[in-house]
This record gives sequence, structure tokens and C-alpha cells, in this order.
Amino acid sequence: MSDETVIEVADLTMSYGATAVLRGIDFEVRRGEVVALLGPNGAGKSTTVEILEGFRAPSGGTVRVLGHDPLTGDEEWRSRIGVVLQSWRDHGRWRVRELIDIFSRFYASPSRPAFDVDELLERVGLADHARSRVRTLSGGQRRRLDVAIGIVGRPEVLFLDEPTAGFDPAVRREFHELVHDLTDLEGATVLLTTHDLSEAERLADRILILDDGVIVADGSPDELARRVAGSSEVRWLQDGQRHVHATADPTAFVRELLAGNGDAVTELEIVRASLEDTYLAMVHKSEAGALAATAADAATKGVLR
Amino acid sequence: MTAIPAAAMRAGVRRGLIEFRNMLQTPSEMLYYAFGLVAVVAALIVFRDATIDESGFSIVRFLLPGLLAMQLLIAACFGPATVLATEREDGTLLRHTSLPHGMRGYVTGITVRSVLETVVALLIVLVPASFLVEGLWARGPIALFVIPLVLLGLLAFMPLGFIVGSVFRNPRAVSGWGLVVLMVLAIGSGLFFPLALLPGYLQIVLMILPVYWLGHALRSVLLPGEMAVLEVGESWQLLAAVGVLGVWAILGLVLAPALLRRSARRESASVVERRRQAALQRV
Repeated sequence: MSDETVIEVADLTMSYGATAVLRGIDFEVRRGEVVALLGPNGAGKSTTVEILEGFRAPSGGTVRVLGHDPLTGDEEWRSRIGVVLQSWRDHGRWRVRELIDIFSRFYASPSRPAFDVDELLERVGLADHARSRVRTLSGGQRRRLDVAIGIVGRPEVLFLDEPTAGFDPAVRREFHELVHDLTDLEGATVLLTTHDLSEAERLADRILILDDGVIVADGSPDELARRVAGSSEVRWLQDGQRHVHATADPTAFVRELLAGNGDAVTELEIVRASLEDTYLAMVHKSEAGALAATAADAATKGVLR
Repeated sequence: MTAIPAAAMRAGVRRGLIEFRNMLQTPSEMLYYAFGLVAVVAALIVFRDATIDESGFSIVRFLLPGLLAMQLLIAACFGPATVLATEREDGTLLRHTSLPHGMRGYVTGITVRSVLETVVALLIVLVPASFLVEGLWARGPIALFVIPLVLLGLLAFMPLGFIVGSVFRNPRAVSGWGLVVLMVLAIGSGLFFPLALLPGYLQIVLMILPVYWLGHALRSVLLPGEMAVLEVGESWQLLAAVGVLGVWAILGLVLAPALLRRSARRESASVVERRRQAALQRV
């Protein structure tokens, strides 16, 4: 990792009509970093990535990827960016090797040659399927093909939007290994989105938690865990009654509690809020919000009818 | 534009060749061509001796250039339109927008593929006709003008296909309604009966459109000169035909790139995903 900043986002906002999806986002990504944009559905993750990829115009703020505004990035800039898209039913008739090969031919810069197609097939574990038609691949194989297409031009910055959505655990693990491989060997900068905390913890050097269009946390998985550990619950039984106390410094609280009440305190418990608890609470909150909005919407419609 | 993106163009040509080969390897597509061939041969045999009223002109002779024009319309205009609409939905276009000079390669690919499909579609009519239609090549070298006229037809109609595919979002609407509109235009524009039989105002409308003129131009080089009496104005107007087709070609070549760029700009993963969800619900 170097000090060079490859992605800069400042006060980024995005609205669709009256709905604000991003409400002023700031972050930077340095060369070689793997950053996860984590958040519940509808938090604005995909919108952020699509703006960085140059597929969407933001409503406000500034965005720079490799020093360029993605919207006006030229073809040379485009050749340094990798986008992993999810294949659905495109190119079903194509053979795997031919498809990767045709995309590699767009990157004909002698200074930064594209991947050797066979080497890449080997790398993503599709060597045995080189001649298979794309439509005959399993979901996991298709995803590896998508990754191969996304990285065939040896991108300096790679965007992965919900790369493992719909994967079973075994395929997901395989995919994580592939991403580790890539970042270790190629030194690419990676920005990925996910709503799965464990995935973010496994893959990323740094996690940005996005909730309702705002970044609510930014740090390495360890830092974030320590930060939310600030809130812990102390539970105990005293004179036949249950007590619960939330505190930022459980050690000090317990020291005082025991010094003051001594033997009367039994069944003492300290529960640290994990990163997962915090994140799940956040997801629940936003899902409850969505439900409430739907209910309100339904109610309004009912009245109107 | 600083340099011609040669690599992307070469990749596009290769893409078109692979798509064409994939098409040849798809049984349903081959069945479509086989059916076309059988239909053409059957029609040529059934109507072999039929003539138009008492004029003595062969019906088959008159129909043949119209059939060629129809084949060109389907392969060079309807084809790219449906391919483009379908591939916007399935994400093929989006993949290309993420490549350096990807759209150039993509458009080159569709063009190469459509030209090859047009050649096949024309040969399906021309090859059996050469054996079954008497005097088809009797005018000798003049009939070779079919080749430049087909090229002009490609220039006039292919951009229109790209325009339809970029403007209309739903591939099922493009393939369904598109075919209906195409058939109405083909039949209305006198590919299969003399346009002179229609009321005058309809003739004028249809003569602004390029379909009539493609048919007229092909007839003018493939039919005996005296069959001009069946045309509007009872004469051959090859220059006018080339002029109208040329204007349409220029219009299309100016408009199509702008519309294509616009539709490419509007693509993003979430747009494709939304269409995917909508399509899945329909299934």
C-alpha cells in the first residue's frame, strides 16, 4: 500500500427525484487498499460504486478516480479501471475462453499488456471449462468468469458490486480466496460492496459502513470492533432482583459495584457489543424504517381510495 | 478523437465472426433459414408459370427483387434492432461500456454479423432462383448492379435498425411490433404488388420512405426493361432511388451514433438488474 490516493470522494450527494440516496459522503482510498462498502440494502452502496465507475452522474460533490472525473474519463482511463458485472444471460452461446479472449483484445497497450487468457483461466479455476458454453456454467463458475472479464485488462482499480450475492457458502469461500489472490499478486486497489459483515471482515483492509446515505463508520475491522465495544452491558442479580446497566467502561463500573455491595451481587455478567451486534441493529433499524414507510404508504393509498 | 482504436475495431470484427458462427451452430436459427429456403423454392415452383393478368409478365420475376429487399430488411434492419434491444437488457451492452472503446467494438461486431446474415439471407433467395427462374441473369452485367444496390441498402437500413434498438427499451416489443411494422411497410411499399395500385396519397407517403425505392432499384436491374410499365410513372428511376436511399443512409449514419451513445450512457448495473427482475417476473 502506498500513500497515493486513487479514489477521492468529497461531499458526494445523489437524489432520485425527491428521494436522497446519498447525503454527503467523504472518503479516500489509497493505492493497494481493499475497501469494503458495507451497509444494508438501500443504503446507497451500489449508487456510490456506479458513480465511481462513471455509469451515473452524481447530484453534487466531487469524485476522482485515478485523478479523473469518472463521467468524463477517457478511454485510456477506462482501460485502467476494472468493473466486475454480474452475468445474467448475456453471451450464453459463447465459449468461456473465446469470451475472455475477445475482451482481452480491447486492451492492446504494449506498456500494460492484458492477462494471458490461459493463465487467467487457470487463475480463476476455469481451465477445465475453457471450451464450455457460458450458459452451461454453474452460478459459481459464472461469477468467476465475470471476475476474469473484469480483471483481464490488469486494472489498477477494481470495483466489485455485491460480488457474492446469491452464493452458497462453499462458492463464497472460493470467491474470497480468488480476491485475496488477486490483490496479493497484482497489487490492485479494490472497492467492493457487500451487506455481509463477515465478508467485509474477511476481504477488506478497511470497512466503510454506509447507512441511509451517510458513512457512519470508517476503519479497519479491528478498529471498528474496538470502537463499538465502547458500549457494554453489565447484568447482575442483587437481593433477588435483576439489574442491567449499560456502560462505556465496564471494568470500572464492576469494580465500584463489587466494592459497594460485596456479597449481595451474584450472577455477574459483562456482555460486549460486537461489531456484528451493532451492524445487525443498524440493519434492523433500516429494515424497520422501510417497513414503516411501506405501511405508511399503504395507509395513504387506503385513505385516498 | 485522437487515434482510430484499431484494437477495438479488430476485436469487433472478431466478435461479429464468432457471433455469426454461434448463430450457425444454433439449431433454431438454422431451422429458420431452412424454412425460408423451402418456402422460397416452393413459391418459385408453384408460381413458375403464373403471369400478371394478360400482360404476360411473370409473377415470379416481379416478386423476386421484392423478396431480396424483404430479406435485406429482416437481416440488416430488424436483426440489429432486436440484437441491440435484447443485449441492452441482458447486459452485453453494459459490459462493452466498461471497456476502452468498447462501444466501437460492439457496433462493429453487430455490423459484421448482420452483413454476413444478410449475405446468407440473399443467397437463400438468389441461389434457387438462378436455377428455377428463367432469364433471371439474362441482362448479364447489368444484373451485377445488385451488389452495389445491396451495399447501399445496407447503409440505408442498418443504421435504422440501430436507431430502433436504441430508442425502444423492450426487446419483446421490438421483435414483436417491429416485425409487424416491417411487414406492413414491406407489403405496403409494393415489394409484392405494384405500388401503382394504391391510392395516390398513400403512394406519396410510401415514396418518402426508403423501402419502395430499394424494391424499385432492385427491380430496375433484375427485370426486363419493358416491365417498367408496372412501376409508378411507368418508368425506371434508378437515380431517384439511389438518391432517396442515400439520403436515408446519411440521416441514419448521423443519428444512429448519437442515439447509441445516449442509450449506452444510460446503462448501469442497477438499470440492467431492474430490467432483469422485470423480465424474471414475466417468466
